Amino acid sequence: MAIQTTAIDRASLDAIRALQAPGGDDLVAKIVRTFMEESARLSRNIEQAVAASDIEGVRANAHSLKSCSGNVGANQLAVLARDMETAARRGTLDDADGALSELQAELRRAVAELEGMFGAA
Amino acid sequence: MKDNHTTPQALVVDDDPSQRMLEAAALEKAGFHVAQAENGRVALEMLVDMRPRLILLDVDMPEIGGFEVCRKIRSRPEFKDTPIVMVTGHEDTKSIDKAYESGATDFISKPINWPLLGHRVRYIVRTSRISQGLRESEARNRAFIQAIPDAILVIDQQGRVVEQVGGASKEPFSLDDLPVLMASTWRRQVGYVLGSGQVQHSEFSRGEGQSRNFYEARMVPFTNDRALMIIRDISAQKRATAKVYRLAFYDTLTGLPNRQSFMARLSEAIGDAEQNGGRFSILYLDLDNFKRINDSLGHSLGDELLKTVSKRIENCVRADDFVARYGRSQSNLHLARLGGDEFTILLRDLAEPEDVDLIASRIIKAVSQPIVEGGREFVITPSIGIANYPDDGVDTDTLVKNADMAMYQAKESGKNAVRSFSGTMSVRSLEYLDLEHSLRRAIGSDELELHYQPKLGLGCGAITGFEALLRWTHPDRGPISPAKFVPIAEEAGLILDLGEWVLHAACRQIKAWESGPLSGLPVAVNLSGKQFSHSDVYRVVMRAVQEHSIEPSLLELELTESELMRDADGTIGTLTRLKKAGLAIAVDDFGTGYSSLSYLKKFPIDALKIDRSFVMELDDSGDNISICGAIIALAHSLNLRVIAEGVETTEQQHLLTFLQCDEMQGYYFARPSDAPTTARFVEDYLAKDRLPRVVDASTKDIA
Repeated sequence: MAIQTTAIDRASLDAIRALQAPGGDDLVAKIVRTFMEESARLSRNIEQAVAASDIEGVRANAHSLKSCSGNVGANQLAVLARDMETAARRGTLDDADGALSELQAELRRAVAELEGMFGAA
Repeated sequence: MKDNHTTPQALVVDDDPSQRMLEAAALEKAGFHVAQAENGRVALEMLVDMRPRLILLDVDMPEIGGFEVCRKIRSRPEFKDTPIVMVTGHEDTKSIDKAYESGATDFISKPINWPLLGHRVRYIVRTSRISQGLRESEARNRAFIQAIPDAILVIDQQGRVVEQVGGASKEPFSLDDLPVLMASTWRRQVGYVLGSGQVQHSEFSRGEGQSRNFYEARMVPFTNDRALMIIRDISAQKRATAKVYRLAFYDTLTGLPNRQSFMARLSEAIGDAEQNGGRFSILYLDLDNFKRINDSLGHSLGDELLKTVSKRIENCVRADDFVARYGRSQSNLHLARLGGDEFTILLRDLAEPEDVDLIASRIIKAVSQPIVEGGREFVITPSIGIANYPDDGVDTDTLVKNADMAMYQAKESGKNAVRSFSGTMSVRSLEYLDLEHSLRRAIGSDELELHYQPKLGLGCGAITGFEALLRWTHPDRGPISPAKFVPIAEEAGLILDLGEWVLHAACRQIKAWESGPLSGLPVAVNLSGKQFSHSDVYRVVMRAVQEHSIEPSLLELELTESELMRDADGTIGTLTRLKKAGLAIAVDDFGTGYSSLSYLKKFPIDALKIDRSFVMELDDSGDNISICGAIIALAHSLNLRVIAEGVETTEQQHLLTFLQCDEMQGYYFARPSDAPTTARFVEDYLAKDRLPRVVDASTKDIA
């Protein structure tokens, strides 16, 4: 596992900032806000799916979490979500609880870092 | 809505809102107006009304997966060419293949490099537009090629056909043998075309005769070592051109070259002769009295006759010996129909000067043969005039004019069995033509016959001789008056034949009577003026006399006063020779024409016949008594016998006797009758009157 000093890769946020239309809504803020809402929702969904042994539920929500976390530069979170998605695709939920807690810890770290940058949502 | 036209519209389909937002932002930055759909179902609903220029489609979506959405969009015709870019998180080749199989235009894998996305999709849209344009252009070209009736071939440097691009279905011939036909030409052309970049034209044909086809080939550079060949069937065009040429230079009725053609050949001949010397002749041929046939029997029959005649002339011109000398080509021996019943023949590089006469006489002989058309028999005779370059003219107009004039002279001379031509010819009836044809056939048949009218010596009461009169009994119409058929014979050119027939018939009769009671009685025959002017009368008469071995003095020739005077000097010579040969000569119809007394004195004549018009009115006209008396006195003063014609009454006979007329002839004494009847009449007369027979014709001695 790669050691990462920060949960959020700032370069990803810079790339989003480059898409900012002049005079438009603050795109980064919008994306970060969306990430806050979506990641919390998806994390809950995964938790419920694991509890219910719903492999497809785990896969689909992990996939979505991978996608939205990648966009805000939460790369480590994206890797964990991808691992969970891949595992679900293989049809195995072995050590799902461990993976889930690791993923939720990383999610918290990323949210905290983003709140540090943009303030609480 | 206006923006839809000014800036391209894109549809972004993704279930991840942040992904959607970012994609939309990236595309908007690249100039697209962007619509968003959170899943495939919503996207398909939106696409009912929306026509985006670009669709960005997530692969992994709940409900309906991206691949299936892609297939569904693509299956709709309006999105056949819309660029669909699939956004995939799976970087395996399997999903990329699947994207293409579903109809995706391109794919982008996550994570997306946002600043580059705009460039990437703009490129995809542009490429898609170009390839769409290319597809349309190809479709257009295919349509063009299919619409073009030409065969389009790709030719290699050896001139071989390596590919056929179009036009195959319309090509009426197999292309397999084209390289064989044209390989050497095309090999040369390919080199030139590829080297110069210039278009090369060539033409070739296939087949023979009617099924011969003509092609036009154009060769243009295609690639570095290939040329494009476009072959067009121009057979119809060639045939149309040939038809126009035929219409312009050939006569449609006979198929012969026409006036334009003849004049062109003549100019050509003059040009050649001016440059290289040499002589040539033109023959100008006109059918005698043909206008009359057309006028009285209609043009369709006239046309049929013309075709027959032109075929006959053509056969003469194409006779083997001529073709051997002048070749089959029309440049040396050119026959044309000028129009109507006029034909011309141009004869160049004469091998023998006599060839002109030879061909003319052959034509006269061939054309004059009877033609059966429409159940009727026709004899059409030509008159031919000849003009020679350079003696008779050095330009077209003069040569043609002089040949034409010569032709008219030929008509007037009536020679060589060519008919005479009357410029004042009127429209004649069918009856007239029938008579003409019947008369032609009658000569030599037993339809013609001589009747004999006895002449009576007024002083002695003896029969002094006979006048032979021609009678024609038509098989259907019965007897036909000489007043009717003689003018026809004259115009139809039959008078010479008729005159000769009469001479022979009369001589034959004289011979037959030689040993009987009629022996020694002279027979007078009428000669026509035409016989004098147009033939060698002396020879014709003497031949008849000798052939039947009769005493020349028993044949008397009658010639009318007006005919005698027409060419007085010429006639005197002929008459003098006949007179010396022992024949007697009488002037017929005396008193009706104008006689020069000085000539009358010079003519070697034996007798004058007073015209019947004076004799018929002799009863009640003192004038006529004076005229008859004067004529009789004049004749006697010139030492001539006088014979009165048309005597019908006793009174006329008494008056004539009183006036010392020598002989008379007329119904009062005897009507003309055939030879046996005449013989019986004479025998009866001799028996009845028991008068001494007068065998000496010179009764004037008695008077």
